[in-house]
Amino acid sequence: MVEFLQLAIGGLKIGAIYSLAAIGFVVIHKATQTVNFAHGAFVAVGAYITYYLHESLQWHPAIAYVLAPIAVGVLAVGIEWSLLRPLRRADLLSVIVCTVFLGIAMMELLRHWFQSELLSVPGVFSEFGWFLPNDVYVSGETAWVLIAAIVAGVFAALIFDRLPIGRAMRAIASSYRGAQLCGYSVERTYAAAWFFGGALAGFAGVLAAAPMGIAPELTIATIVPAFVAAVIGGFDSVGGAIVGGLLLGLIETFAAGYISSAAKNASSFVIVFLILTFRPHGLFSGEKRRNV
Amino acid sequence: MKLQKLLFASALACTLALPAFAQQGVSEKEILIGGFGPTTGPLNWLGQGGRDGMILAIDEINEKGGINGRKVRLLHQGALTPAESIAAAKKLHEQDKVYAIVVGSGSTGAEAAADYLRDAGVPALNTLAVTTKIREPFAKNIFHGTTPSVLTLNAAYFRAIQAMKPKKVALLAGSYAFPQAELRATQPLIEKAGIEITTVQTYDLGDKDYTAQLVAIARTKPDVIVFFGQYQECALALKQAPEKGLGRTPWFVGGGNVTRALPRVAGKAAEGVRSVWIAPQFHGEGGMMGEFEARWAKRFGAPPEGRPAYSDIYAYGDMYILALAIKKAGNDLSWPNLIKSWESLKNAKPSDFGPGALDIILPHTYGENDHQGNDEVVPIVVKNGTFVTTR
Repeated sequence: MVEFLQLAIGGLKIGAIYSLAAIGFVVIHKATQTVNFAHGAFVAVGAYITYYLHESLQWHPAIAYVLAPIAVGVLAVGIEWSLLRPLRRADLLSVIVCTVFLGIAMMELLRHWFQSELLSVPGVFSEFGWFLPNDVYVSGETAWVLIAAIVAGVFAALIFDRLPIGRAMRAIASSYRGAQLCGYSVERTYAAAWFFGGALAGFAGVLAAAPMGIAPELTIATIVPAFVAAVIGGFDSVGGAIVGGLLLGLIETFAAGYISSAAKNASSFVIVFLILTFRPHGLFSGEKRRNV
Repeated sequence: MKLQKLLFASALACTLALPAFAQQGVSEKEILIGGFGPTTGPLNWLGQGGRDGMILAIDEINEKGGINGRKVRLLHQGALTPAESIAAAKKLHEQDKVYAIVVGSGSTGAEAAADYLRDAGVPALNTLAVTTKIREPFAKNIFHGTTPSVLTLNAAYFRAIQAMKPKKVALLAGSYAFPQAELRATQPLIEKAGIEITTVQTYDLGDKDYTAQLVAIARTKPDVIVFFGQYQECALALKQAPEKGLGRTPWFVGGGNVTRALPRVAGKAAEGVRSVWIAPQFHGEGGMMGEFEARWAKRFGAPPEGRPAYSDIYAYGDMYILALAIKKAGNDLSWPNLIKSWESLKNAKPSDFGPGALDIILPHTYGENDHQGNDEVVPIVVKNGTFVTTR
């Protein structure tokens, strides 16, 4: 039982970071119909900004939680505006290919600039910790990552579902031309969606920096789980992405713990296969199916 | 018969009178040395270190007037994958016609190029690869520098683990080639010594979360945890260990983890971690290493995180050993004579080349059937946030 709880806590911690990365992925897709495979690179940029602010400029760690998401959000808007705008109406394959290689290019640029394989920042609240019954230990850092990711996720869901900008995103996604006729600005809404998605990726990067380390490979380490979490939750469900990420973290950790480490990665792909086969719209998507 | 003798004598005289620059890669004023290793991708720090260490040594050698009056020029090829490594070795030998090739890649690149180098016969110096595949079968033209064979390294690991006096050890190793090779070589030695192996856990390259493996290890209550892989993974595993109830269990880590980054990333969790190191001093221990780091910064500017790395150190020292062999070969720079000269080096160190060279590697000794320059390792432990040598 102790072991089960320890695995569950570890799985939820990593799953919380997956969730946050998946939400940004879903937000951009939901609003702009773009499957952004460069999203993992946004997470990595967030982590590197955290390192730069904390270690190079020696600023207070809290500043990274504000500045890194904003900076990554602005970067995401800039990339969409300068590189992806010509592809807005392009076919899905072109956009996927473009974002995949954009992500790789960003990863290699990070490697080139920082010339280091692994950087780190101190964990937040890592000096605190609590013993649960049966001597199960939860560190302050784990608690912080879990709480911050879930709060940010819920906050994102509220913005998307309740605020006017969220309504605009949903309108554009539903009908590009129809939304324009209703007076929604495509430019502004696209910018908002990319900023919002980028900022969530940046926040995921800040949270991931301490426990996962800061390396160019964070790009790959987050995009694959973010994609899987989005598939589990349904590509159009922010809430689904949160649950999908947490579920994935748990499944991976239990698979590694009770089967083997090889089963950890395999489990992600088995999940994607099963979901796409039996419930292609995900577990929590609001999409309706009609039989005609 | 008389004519035959005359012809033979004339041919011999011509050969002896032939200038040294008749040999590929040698001109009247220059010796061209080739090198390859990964300068992009995930192992760029390794290959860039190999390249920059050589550049630093060559600059110093040239400032001192070169080798027997000839300046040294380096031609370096970036090569990450096995295919790129073979292509780089082939290009350096066949197109660029270099005099000797320095293999500045890890085991993957060295293994890939090994057969080509053996067949080509061009003198080659392996500075960084531990693999046996570039050592066996033995080739007269391939020499090895600071990095010992994986077998030597693993015997040293075993001695260091034994010195920690454990009754039970848990093994945690990456599923990819390098840590698996370390695991395969060390595990039988541990078992043979009667030390119980409580569990063998594996992880995948680039894993970020070690919860499952650490929980499984904690369950078996080992006296020592032995980790094989790279520091990028080890640092995260170490950092996550206290939360899984392994805060007080000592760790022994493979040589690939002995970097400045490991204690920095893992923080307090790295205190007391033991390993082995293949140089007289670790970074920051002052003395010659301090001087090397200052020269490095002067030549290349403010170093990025983790540089100069061990690859910079080994390549710098090994380049001096190659220069010594060339120097000792004198004016006859034919490959057979270079090989003969190289095999005659005993306890060779950079300062043997001349004053100013830094002895930041362990002395190298070669023989006719022994091309492994260094077989020695130094115990090392993390103290106050950095590795320190303990001999």
